[in-house]
Amino acid sequence: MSALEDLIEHLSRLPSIGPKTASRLAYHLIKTDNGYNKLLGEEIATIQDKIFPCSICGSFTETDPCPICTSSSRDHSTICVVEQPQDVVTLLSSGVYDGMFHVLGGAISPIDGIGVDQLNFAKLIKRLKEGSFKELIIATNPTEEGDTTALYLRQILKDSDIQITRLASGLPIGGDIEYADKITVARSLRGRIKF
Amino acid sequence: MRFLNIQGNSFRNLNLEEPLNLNKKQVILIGANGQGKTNLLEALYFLCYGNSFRTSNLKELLSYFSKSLNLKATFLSDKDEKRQISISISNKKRQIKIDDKIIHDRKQLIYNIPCIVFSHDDIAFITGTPESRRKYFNQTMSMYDPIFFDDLRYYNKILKQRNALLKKGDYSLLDVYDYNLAKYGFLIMTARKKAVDEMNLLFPNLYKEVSNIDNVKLEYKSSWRNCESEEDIIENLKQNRERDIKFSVSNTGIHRDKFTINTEFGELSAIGSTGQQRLASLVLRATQCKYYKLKTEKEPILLVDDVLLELDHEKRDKFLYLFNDYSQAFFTFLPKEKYFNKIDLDNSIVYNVEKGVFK
Repeated sequence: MSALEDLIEHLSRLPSIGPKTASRLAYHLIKTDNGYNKLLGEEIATIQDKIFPCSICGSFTETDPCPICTSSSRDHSTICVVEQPQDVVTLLSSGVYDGMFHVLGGAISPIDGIGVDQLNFAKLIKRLKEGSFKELIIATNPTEEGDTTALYLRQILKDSDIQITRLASGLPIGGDIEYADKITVARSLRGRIKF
Repeated sequence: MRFLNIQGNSFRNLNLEEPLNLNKKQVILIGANGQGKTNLLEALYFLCYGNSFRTSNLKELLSYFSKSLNLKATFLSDKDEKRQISISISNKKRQIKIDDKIIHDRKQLIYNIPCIVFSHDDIAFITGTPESRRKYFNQTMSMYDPIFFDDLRYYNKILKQRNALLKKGDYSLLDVYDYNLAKYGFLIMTARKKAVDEMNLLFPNLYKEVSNIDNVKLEYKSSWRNCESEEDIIENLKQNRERDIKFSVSNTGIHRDKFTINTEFGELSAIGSTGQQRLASLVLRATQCKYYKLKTEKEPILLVDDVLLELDHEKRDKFLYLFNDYSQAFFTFLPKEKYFNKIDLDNSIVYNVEKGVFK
């Protein structure tokens, strides 16, 4: 049954899907009602035409430029730099941030062949020059790659007037210090801020 | 803290279908070579740390013709709770569970049961490369300090990235990597200095007691000479940048630090007799135990693999007397060997090991 094998092979290329899950999904699709499969297939086939990266900020959108970049009610003097389009959604859902975004498309990692040129820095610099930004918030992940990316941003912007901030990291809210693991406590101590 | 029992299948030649009772302070394994004494020590170590002290290739742990293995042990935690740890390998993948909960980062495993192996390969701490001595100190410090372990991991990641840049010939990001290399390198360097100072309160005395040789000391020589701050290190990296570019590798840093063991007449690795070196490697392990206890007020589990063989009875008893700072110890011996003069038999189990079976 090569049709089935092909489907399993293709499903297992999806992230976090192994061969076992792929074959379970494939058998499920065989049994499932025909209308659903057609709908799913069509949605998959057309997703890239309907949703694409915004030509200004790089977050996923159905219209170009995206509603965030064109919004008149949002604050156009603050820009938040993130690694992935998904991060925009997370920050938006917090409901606290009402500024602009910029998606880099990843974080600097020479081992994986990701340097400055592979990421969306050039466009960011252009935006900063042309716009009237007062604050840039770095919201890269607290990993080695995210830290490096943040340091690089700080370095290239050290002569600009824009205030640069980075998301706080440390103890989780609502958690007692008593229950945090040693490393989290140590990192929070190192990253302590003036109060 | 101690192991209560171990059970499993397909781990090397071990036959542990039924749980093997380990609930005594001393467990003594007697058998000819190749019967499975060290394999049991390796299995216990594997449960403590998720890797082996003999090989980095997990496949070697599987018995012939098997594709998967299971190991399970009950242990008494330092809070005297009965807990369970299990590791299985199948499809070349390792799965670790503590009390039936899957563990994803090995960091969560390694701080449950502190164990220290004494093996023949420890002689490398004295006579081996600088890297083998760094390994000893990294291990000693990581055992009690998860933050040191984490900083070291972070440093090694930055180092790899920096070396990748140098190999590619892309120097635009070097400043950024130098900043982070200096930041974490400085933390590690400071921690190493402090640890060596503190270990020098233990090692020389222990060594004197078993060898009667005085004034043998540990010394730490940092690769970033005369650097007292992150800024000093950044400056040092700048001065060495041309050389780094020329050789496409980071020539300075805590990954090039040196540790030496010095006598009054020179380095022990150069002037010591084989016996003195062997003894020093044992004393380094003993120092690891004592230092762990000093730092955590907990006693580790010892896995002593044949190394006492080379000591005469007087030294052996002395050695054992020197470190009673263990919560449980496993010793291996050859048959008909007289193992200890003074052994507390009430607190010991003796097993005869033959073809992977323990009786």
